[in-house]
Amino acid sequence: MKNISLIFFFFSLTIYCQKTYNGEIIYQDSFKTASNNIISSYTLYFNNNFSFYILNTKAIPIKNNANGTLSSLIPEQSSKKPFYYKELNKENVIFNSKTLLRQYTVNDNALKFNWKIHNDERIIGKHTCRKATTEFRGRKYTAWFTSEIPVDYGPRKFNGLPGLILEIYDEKRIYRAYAKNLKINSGTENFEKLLTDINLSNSITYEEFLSKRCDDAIKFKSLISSKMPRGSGNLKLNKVGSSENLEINSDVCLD
Amino acid sequence: MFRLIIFIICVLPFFSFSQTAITGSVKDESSNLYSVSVILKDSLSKSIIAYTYTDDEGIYQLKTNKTGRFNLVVSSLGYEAKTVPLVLNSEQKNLKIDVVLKEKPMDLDEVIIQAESPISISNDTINFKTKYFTDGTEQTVEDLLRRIPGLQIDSEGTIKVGNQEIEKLMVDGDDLFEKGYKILSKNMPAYPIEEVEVLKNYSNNRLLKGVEESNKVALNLKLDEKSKRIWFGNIETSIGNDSFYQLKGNLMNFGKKNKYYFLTNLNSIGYNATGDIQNLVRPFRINEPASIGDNQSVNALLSLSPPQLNFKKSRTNFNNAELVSLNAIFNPTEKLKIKTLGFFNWDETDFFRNSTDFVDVSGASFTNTEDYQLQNKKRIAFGKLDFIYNFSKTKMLEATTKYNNGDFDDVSNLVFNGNSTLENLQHQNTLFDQKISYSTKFDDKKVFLLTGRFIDEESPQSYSFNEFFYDDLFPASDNANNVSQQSNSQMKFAGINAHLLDRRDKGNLLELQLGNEFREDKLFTTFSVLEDNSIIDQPTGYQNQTKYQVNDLYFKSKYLFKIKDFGFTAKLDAHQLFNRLENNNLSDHQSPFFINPSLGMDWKINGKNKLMTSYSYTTTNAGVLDVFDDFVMTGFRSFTKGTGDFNQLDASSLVFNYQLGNWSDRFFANTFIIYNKNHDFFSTNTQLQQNFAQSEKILIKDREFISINSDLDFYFKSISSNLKLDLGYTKSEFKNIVNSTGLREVTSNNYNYGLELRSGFRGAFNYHAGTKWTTSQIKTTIDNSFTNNVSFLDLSFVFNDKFDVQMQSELYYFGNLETDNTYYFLDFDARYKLIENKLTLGLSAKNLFNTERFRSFSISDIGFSTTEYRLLPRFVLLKMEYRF
Repeated sequence: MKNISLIFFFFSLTIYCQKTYNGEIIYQDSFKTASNNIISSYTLYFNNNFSFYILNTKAIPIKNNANGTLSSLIPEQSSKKPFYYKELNKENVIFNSKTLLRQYTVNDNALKFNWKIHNDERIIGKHTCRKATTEFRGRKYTAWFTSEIPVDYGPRKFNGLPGLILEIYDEKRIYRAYAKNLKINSGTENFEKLLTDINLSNSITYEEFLSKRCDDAIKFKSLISSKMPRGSGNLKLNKVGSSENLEINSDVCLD
Repeated sequence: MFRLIIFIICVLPFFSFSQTAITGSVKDESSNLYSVSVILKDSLSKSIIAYTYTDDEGIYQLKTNKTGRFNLVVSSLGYEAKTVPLVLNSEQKNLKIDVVLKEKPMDLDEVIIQAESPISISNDTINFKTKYFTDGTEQTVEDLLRRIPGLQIDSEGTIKVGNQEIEKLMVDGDDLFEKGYKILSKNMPAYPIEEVEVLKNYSNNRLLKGVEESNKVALNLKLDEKSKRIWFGNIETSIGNDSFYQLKGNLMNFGKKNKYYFLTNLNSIGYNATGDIQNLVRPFRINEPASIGDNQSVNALLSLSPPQLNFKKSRTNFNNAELVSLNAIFNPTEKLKIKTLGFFNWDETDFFRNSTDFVDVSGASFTNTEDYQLQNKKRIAFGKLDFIYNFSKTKMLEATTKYNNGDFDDVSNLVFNGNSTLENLQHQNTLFDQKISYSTKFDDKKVFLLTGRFIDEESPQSYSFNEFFYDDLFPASDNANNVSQQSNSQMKFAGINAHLLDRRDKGNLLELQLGNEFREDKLFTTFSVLEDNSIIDQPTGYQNQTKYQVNDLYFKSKYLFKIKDFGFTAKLDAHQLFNRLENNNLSDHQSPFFINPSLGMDWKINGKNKLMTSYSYTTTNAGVLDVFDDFVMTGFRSFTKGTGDFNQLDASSLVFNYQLGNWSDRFFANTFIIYNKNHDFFSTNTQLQQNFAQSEKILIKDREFISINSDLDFYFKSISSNLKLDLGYTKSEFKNIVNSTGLREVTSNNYNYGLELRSGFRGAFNYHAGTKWTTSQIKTTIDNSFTNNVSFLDLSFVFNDKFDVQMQSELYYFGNLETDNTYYFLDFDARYKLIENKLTLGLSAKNLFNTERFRSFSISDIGFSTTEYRLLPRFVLLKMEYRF
């Protein structure tokens, strides 16, 4: 009983008396990689406190029936759905990401978007959007955000604009996410329950993740190369990342 | 005015360096509001000057060094946005603006946005608009496909979706190459391609899409409008020592309506270029609806061709081959498509062999030596015409006509036990093949196909041997000094097949087929004993006038169904045969009826364990080479004959497969067990002498065959290498008669054990080494066995994207040879890309140790033999490839 009142106390503290509103935006998120998770549907759940960008279904668009397909090769491990968690008005994003061998929860606290806001305007849905550009970890991005939804959230790690990002893509169209369906709602649903599934605490830093990703990629490619039949060439141990990762500047392991 | 100018001049410097801080709090009626967006906009241009969000206390702070008229826009979800106009000038260091927001109820607000997508998915098609994936550096289709998500292209150019190789690579829905698509992907430029489509669960017959059980994948390239008439291709020339050479060329053009493709290959390096287009000539399709008659071809009696070696064929193939192929697709109307394919192949090959056969069976113990030089000359012309007419979305007619004409002239110089002899075989092959297939989809999930096919194939042979070794067989022919055999094999096939595919709920599939297939074989042989050019005898018992007709009326059913993690396949085929046999004017007939059932199951126990098993019982009808009545000559010292009667052979087979782990896991094991029992089988009753062997087919009961094979993979992290173990065992048992011994049992056991180690290093260098032992044993009245070993070591150096070097070495060891029992081979390949995707230089060297002869050892149920082959000498080729 005591606990309950304590919870109520904290609850009211966080919420103040401010009206909460929920948003649920469905994004088509496409990302060109050599492996298979590419075109997916994500939902951005948000309220005044945080946003949570998470894969909708297991949706691995290219499904293979044959045995021993490379998608089935990529270890399924404790495959939790990829998510990105961000609190309003804070820059860091907590996300989970797979290397070729394992999945990690990472706190990316090295984010710095120097958005340049342009005057170009475009209507997406029924919202007037404004163009913003930035260079982020080796790629040049264009974002379209609407200040009609005054939150600084967006797909994946992209955030920090005076309004929600409804579309973002890079110059080479390696990555593109755009809102397909917007739902803004009086805050009846409690998104906090979405967070119970994930463990936000046990995270590693972004730098730690980069070096783990390298190590794991080298291990994985070596494993696969060594299993090829006679006469077939080795898998190319390319720059881990280059075209396969959004963030090029983070390529630290080159072949 | 003057004052204003003075004012500006004085104040301007302050302007530029002054910064104004705008602060304030945001509240609603009752409390502070946190996370409220605060944006400073230019009042005219509306451009955003600065923005922030309020903190937990509802406080915000904005800084700007601009001056003029601005709007401060304060907004938060659930509140009405408020705009506060303000003027900033240089003197203002601080500006405090507090804002009170009014609640604005915001009910469900849903917006659905339509937008062009770079990737769109509909059912089994994934469409990629290439402009979203390319950056202009792509030259060839292969480069472009590398950029398409989900596609893998390996170093050989094999295109895979996931790990499954694609069925075909089409251009605007037209397929020229089938599985030979690399010719296209490696040569066609990327720029005309607007869209790439990945077609999953692909069906060769479009109406069967979604109905038949298919896990095939195909790609379709859609061209942009302006790329209608571009010619492109490549040329590769290789020149080496001792006039070794190769010349390859491809030229193609893909218009919207018509598509053309030309290919040529000339070489003397042992390369068989027809392999490149074999898929186009005889498509290899298993379990494909409307594929009746695919396995029907004439059976030739005699052949003077090099034996199949378990050894790289190119090492012993002394050739001079020329191949030209011309292909085109025409789409004269929306509904009509015409495909043509033609090729011409000339080849002259030489083959050299020395062998010694030791025979030791009851009643015969001798040693034969052969010094054999074979020269084959051939000329093949092949044409194929496909005609596809689409009546409507659900009805389609396909017709395929093939014509083949081959002319062969084979001569062998044979020194047999010291006697110099000459064998000569001239033969032709003419084939006419017409297939018509009509498909209709009469329901969303039901397809009906009606297929008819007619094949007429003929293969006359003329054989002569300029010695007479057969005194014991034909004692009356005293003065005979040579023999000849004229023969003609003819085959006519006519078949009709009705096929219904019915896809049910939960993916279950029912297939029913009703058909009738008729085949008539004619085998005429004339064997003559000659003295010089005059025939002195045509011995009875060595002449055949055989006509064999088989009419197979059948009903086939198949049901595929799934229950949880289990998949089942049940098949039941019923055949009513009408056989008619006419041997040397004596005719007979029979009409047997039989049923072939089979049952298969696969069980995905969990992610790591998979089990597959199947059982089938089959009855097979005897073919023409099993039923003829008199002897025919099938080689210079062999005569064979069939049973002279009808036969049906029964067999059961059981297959079991278990997989532990996935291929990519550090540990992976895959085990196959195959068991076959032939309740009846054809064996031979052979009269064996030093100069000839005469055998007739006999029907025997119960033959058994078992094969167990296991592959294990284990990856060692510490040395970044994978160890592969390969263990196999096969045992077969059968019975035959040699020199009237009565039935003797022949048991053969084969064991093989191999291991391989392959690295997956990061750097330029990698190795792959392996060794494999094979032990064979044959037990009858005699007991022969041997153990051979093959080992290899391959080294690869990939210095950079432009330059790589590969070395392959092999070692063969024959345990039963006392001398010359070890052979080494070393091949070398280097490649340098001078201009990316334009000009590549290469150096290729084969047989660097210049091993000239290769001796192998083999055993059989009548003895053992050693065989020595002559090999292509060491040669070095300088290669140049140019793309245009």
